[in-house]
Amino acid sequence: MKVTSERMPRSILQLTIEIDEATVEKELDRASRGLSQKAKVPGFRPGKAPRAILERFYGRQALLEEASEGMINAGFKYALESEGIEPIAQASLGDVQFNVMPYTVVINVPVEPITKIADYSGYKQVFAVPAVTDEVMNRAMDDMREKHVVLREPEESRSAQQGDLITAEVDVVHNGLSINGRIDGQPGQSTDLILEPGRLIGGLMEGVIGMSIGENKTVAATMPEDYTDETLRGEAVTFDVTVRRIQERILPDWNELPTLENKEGTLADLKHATSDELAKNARENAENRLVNGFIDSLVAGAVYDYHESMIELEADRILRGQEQEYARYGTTAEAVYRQMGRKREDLVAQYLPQGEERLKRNLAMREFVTAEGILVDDSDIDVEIDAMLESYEPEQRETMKALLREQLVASVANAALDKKIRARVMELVAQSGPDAEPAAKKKSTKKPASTENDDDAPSAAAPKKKTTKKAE
Amino acid sequence: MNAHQIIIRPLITEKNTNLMQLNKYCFEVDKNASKPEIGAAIATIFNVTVTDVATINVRGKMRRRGIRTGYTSRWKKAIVTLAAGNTIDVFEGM
Repeated sequence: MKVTSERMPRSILQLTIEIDEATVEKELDRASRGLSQKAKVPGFRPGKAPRAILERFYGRQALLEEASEGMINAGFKYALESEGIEPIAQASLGDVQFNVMPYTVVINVPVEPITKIADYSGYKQVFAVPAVTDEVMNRAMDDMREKHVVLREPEESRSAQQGDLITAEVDVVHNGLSINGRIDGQPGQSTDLILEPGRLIGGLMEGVIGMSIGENKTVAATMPEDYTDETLRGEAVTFDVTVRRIQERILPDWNELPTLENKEGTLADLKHATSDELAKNARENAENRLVNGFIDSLVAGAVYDYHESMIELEADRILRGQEQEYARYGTTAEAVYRQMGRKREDLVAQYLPQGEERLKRNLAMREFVTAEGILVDDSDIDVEIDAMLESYEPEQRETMKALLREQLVASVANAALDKKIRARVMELVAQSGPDAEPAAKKKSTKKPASTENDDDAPSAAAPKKKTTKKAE
Repeated sequence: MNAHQIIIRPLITEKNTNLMQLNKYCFEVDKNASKPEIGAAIATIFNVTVTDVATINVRGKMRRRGIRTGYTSRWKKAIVTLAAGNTIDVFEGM
């Protein structure tokens, strides 16, 4: 048996297999035994007609057709073993030549993708953590207080005042058409309105203040310039408001807030802790922006060669993640799809663009991890498990430790790898100080990945098993 | 009668295939052909040496079409034994 292989675009390895005569004869014999069982040859009981008789009776072509599957399988198996190929999806059959010896079969095998990432050594960004301003701090404290608001019906019937929570039916009209579905809830359904400055669309709060239960009023307002629906930005609309309920919002005293938040200490301590928390979040967000920016750049600058089945696989994974969510809510994916009136295959097709994006990201990150030699070993997993266990009660820790060590070890490894990647990216990318160059200028120094840059491609011999955990 | 009139067709069946291992070949032959004539005809057509000829007159089988009954034709079968080392091409590869 002779095998020649050629790498084709879209991550396909084209195998041309010459099937040797011994295999052909063996498979023809096997096929004739099979055909003999099915065929009715006069003078012979089923299964007793010899190959030569069958060949004369049905022709060699019929026998070859019967034997072709066996010959192809035998050739394919030999090719996979001899070339050390690991297909990543179903192979497809190309040209088959069974007319002249040696018989040849062409098989297209989807194999591992090839990704070349661009040189990222010049990618630098200024790492700046925004300060926690008084405004941010005050908003956080107000939000915290708002969580503990108590609603109460006014003791005496009265009209709506600033600070109240109003339940009202609101019909929004733009250019003479009702657009309720695009604003708040469904037409005819009640909406809660908090009469506080900055909480409602400009003009609506002022219009509602003073209205009584059952009262109907048309309030003219202008949609804000940063409204989510672009077509309505800055547009004049009218709100047809019918008030159904008025409730007083009683905010807790500032000094009660630490107790309500289950925190020890005074309001000043709570403010201090909140400030620390906000600073920590701000730092994390800044880090996230930096890391995500680097990854986006890496993904965009990489050159990929992958098989389309991988996109489908990724889309399927996304859907499976959703199905697990359904299961968590006590329903089955089948029930949801039935209710939606859609088939799973259609949904997989819908997720193909997302699947492709995720695949590219995974491939680029896998190359990065390989190039940087980032590995996760047992000690990293132990550290990660210890960090995770801190969020559990002491009596739960032993059980959780066993669970994290056994069943969830892949997730733990992923988390550990993620941390290592982030740390490495920060090392590579983050620039501090006023002399840091603007990111855009630095970005332009990146070399595009090209075939000439093959030497820059990460070595295939780099450890892969551990690194693929993240990519997968 | 020439040789091709005597030998009508080879009989290729499971049983006859097994007989080939004993260097015996079966043919349908003319009803009136004698054993020497059959042997000579085989030797002429296939260029082999015949050592023995056995013949069987196969009786017609009864066949019925509704109420009518009849018989298929009678025919003669010949089992020809060849000298060692001789084979007949028509059966080659069997």
